[in-house]
Amino acid sequence: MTAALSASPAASGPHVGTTSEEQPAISVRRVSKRFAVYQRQTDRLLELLSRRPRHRTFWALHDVSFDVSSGEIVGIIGRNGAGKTTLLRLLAGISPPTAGEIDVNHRLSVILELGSGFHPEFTGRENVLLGGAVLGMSDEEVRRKYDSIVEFAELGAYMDMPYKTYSLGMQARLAFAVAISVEPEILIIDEALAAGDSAFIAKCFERIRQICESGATVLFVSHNTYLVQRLCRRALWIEGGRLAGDGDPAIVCRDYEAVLRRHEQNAARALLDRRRFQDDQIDAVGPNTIVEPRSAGENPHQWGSGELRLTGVDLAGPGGAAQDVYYAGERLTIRLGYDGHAPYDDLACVVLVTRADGVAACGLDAAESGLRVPPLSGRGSFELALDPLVLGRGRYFLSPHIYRDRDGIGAASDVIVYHDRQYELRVERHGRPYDVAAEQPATWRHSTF
Amino acid sequence: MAWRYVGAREADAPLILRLLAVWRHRRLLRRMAERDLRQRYAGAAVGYAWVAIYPLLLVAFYTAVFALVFRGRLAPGGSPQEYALYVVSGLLPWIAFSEVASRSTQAMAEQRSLVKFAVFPVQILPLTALYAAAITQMVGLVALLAFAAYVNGGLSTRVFLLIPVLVLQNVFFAGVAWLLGALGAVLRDVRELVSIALTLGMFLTPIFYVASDAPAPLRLVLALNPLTHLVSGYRAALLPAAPLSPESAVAFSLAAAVALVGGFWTFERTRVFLADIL
Repeated sequence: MTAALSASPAASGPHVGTTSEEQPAISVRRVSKRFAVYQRQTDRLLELLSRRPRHRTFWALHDVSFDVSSGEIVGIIGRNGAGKTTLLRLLAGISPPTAGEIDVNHRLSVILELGSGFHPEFTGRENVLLGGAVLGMSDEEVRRKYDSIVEFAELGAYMDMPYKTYSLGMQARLAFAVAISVEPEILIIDEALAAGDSAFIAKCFERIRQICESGATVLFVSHNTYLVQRLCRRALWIEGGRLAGDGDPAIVCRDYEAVLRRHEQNAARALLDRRRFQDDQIDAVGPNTIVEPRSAGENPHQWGSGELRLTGVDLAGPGGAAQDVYYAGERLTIRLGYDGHAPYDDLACVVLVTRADGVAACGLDAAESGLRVPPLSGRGSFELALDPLVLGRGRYFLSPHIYRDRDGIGAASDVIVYHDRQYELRVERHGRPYDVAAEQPATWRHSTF
Repeated sequence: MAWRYVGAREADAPLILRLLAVWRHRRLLRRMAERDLRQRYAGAAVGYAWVAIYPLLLVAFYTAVFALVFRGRLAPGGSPQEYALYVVSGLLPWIAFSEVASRSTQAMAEQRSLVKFAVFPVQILPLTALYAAAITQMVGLVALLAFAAYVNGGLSTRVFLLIPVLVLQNVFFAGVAWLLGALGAVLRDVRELVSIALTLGMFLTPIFYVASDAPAPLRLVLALNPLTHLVSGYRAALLPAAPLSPESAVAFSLAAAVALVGGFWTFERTRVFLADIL
C-alpha cells in the first residue's frame, strides 16, 4: 500500500545539495531584498534633501536560503512578481541584497532578457559579435565560435538580415545560441526558452544537459512546470518573496500547481459572488455549485464537492499484497475505497497516472473500460486491474478522481473528489534496467528461407 | 550585506584598480560606441559622416557670425582670419565637451536593459559618448590644423603641445561623463539642467572674447571654469600670439585628475543602485 505523499513545502525543508568536502557553486544565506517605491520622482529628491523617508518599502525577497552544487540543474518556479527575477538579478550581481550573503564561485553567464545588447537594426552576424562582447567574450573568441553558434541556431541563411526581421522564435534561438557559447560554469536562464518551438527546446535541453555533465551548474526559471520537470532534478519554488518549496520537481510542481488552482478558484468564486449579487436584484439565484472554500489545514491536493470521500487507495501485486516496487509485465491491482453520497447517474471515475517528469503516462477511465459507474451511496470500492502492467521503469504518481461527466467537459464545479498526485507507484523491470517509457508486450518470430 | 564572487567580480576591488580595469574593456567600449553611432545614423544616406558634418557646419556658422557680422577682432586693427582662428580653436573643444556632457546624462537610461538584465561592465556606458566625440574631434582637428597653417603661414613646433592637451582633455571628459552618467540616471532632471548649463557655459568660457577683456566678476568665473584652461591650451598650441600659461596647464591637469577620480567615485557609489532605480 502506498502512503499519501506528505511533501508539503514546510515539511520538505531546506535542501542541502552538497557533500561536506565540496564547496557549493552558489550559496545563498538568508537573503532579503527591499525596494523603495516612490509615488513620484519628486519624493525621491525631497527624501534626499530632507532625509525623511517618503517611500513605501516592498520586500521582493524575504529570508531566502539555499545551496546549489556544481553540475546541478535547478528549476525555479513561481508566479509573476513572486521574486524569481529579483533572485536571479541578485545572483548575477546586478543588484545588491539588502540583507544576507550570496556566494557565487564560478564564471556566470546570464540570460535574464533575451538578447541583451542585441539591436534590431543590425544583422544577425553583427548581433552575434555584439552579444558575445556583452557576455564578456573577446572578439577573437566570438569569431572562433561563430560557426557553431550559427549552426546551433539554425539561422545560416538569415545571418545577414537585420535582427528585427526575425520571428520571435528565431530571435530566441540566436540569443540562446550566443549565451550558451560562453562555456559558462553557471548558466542562468530566465524564461528565455518560452519563444522557441518544441524541437528547439529539445535541442536546448540536450545542450544544457551536456553543459551540466561537464560540471557546470544551470538555473532555469520558468512558469512552465512541465519544462521544469522535464529538465531539472531539483526545483525551487518562490512564492511572495519566500522560498516555499525546495526539492523533487514532481512534488514541488504539484504543490505549486495546487496554489495556482486555489487562486483560480478564488477568482472564479469572486466572479460568481459578483454575478449572484447582480442576480439578486432580479430575484433569480441559480444553484451555487462552485467548490466551497477549504478551511485552513486541509490538504491542498485534495478537493471536490465533499459529497464523497476516498477512504483508501491500495495497490497490490500479483500475490495480492502491497509491494515496494511493482514489475512491468506483472499484474497490478488498484483499489479505490469510497464513502459518501453522490446519487448521480452521470458519474465518471478516472485514475490519471503521471510520470515523475510531468508526462501524463495514461488515464484509466472506468467508462472506457466498459464499467458504467452507478450512483454512489454509502461505502464501496472500485477495483481496477492492470494486467499486465506495461509502464516503463520509473516513478509515477496516481491522481484518482470522480466527477460528474455532464457535457464531456470537466468543469471545476463538477468534481466530486480529486486527489492530485497523492499516491506513488514505483515500477521496475525484470532484466536490464532500461529507462523506457513503456514495456510493450511483443512477440518475436524468426524464420529462414 | 555581502557578496563574494570568487574571481568573477571586479566590483569588489579597490577604486583605483577598478579604474585601471576599465582599460580591459576597451574592445567592448569600441563596439558599444560604434553600435551607438550606427544606431544614431541608421538609415541616413551619408551615415557616419554626420558625426563630422554637424560640428563643422556649427563651427563655420559661429565663426562667420562673430568674425564677419559682429566684426570681432582680437586687437584693434587685427585681421579677421586671426580672430576666426581664435574662435575656432575655442569652439572645437567646447563642442566636444557639450556633446560628451549631454550624451552621457542619457547613456545609462538608453542602455536600461543592459544595466538591469545583464552582467555587463556598465562603467563603460558613459564613455561611449567620449568615443563619438573623439571622432568629431579628429576630423575637426585636421580642419583646425589646416586653417591654422593657412592663417599663420605654417605651423610652429608648439603644435606638439596639443598631444598633452588632448590626453588631459579626454581624462577630464571621462570624469565628467561618469559623473553626469550617474546623476542623469538617478534624476532625470539632470539632463535638462545640463542642457541649460551648456547654453550658459558657452558664454562663460572665453570662446568669442578674450578673458582679460572680461569685467572683473566674470574673470573670477572664467578662472574657475576648467574649460577656460583647456581652451587656452589649444590656443597656446595654435596661435603664435597666445601666451604660454603654465598656471592654466597646472589648473587643467588638476581639474582633470579631480574630475576623473571624483566622477568615477560617484559613478561607482551609484552603480549598485542603478539596476534598481532605472
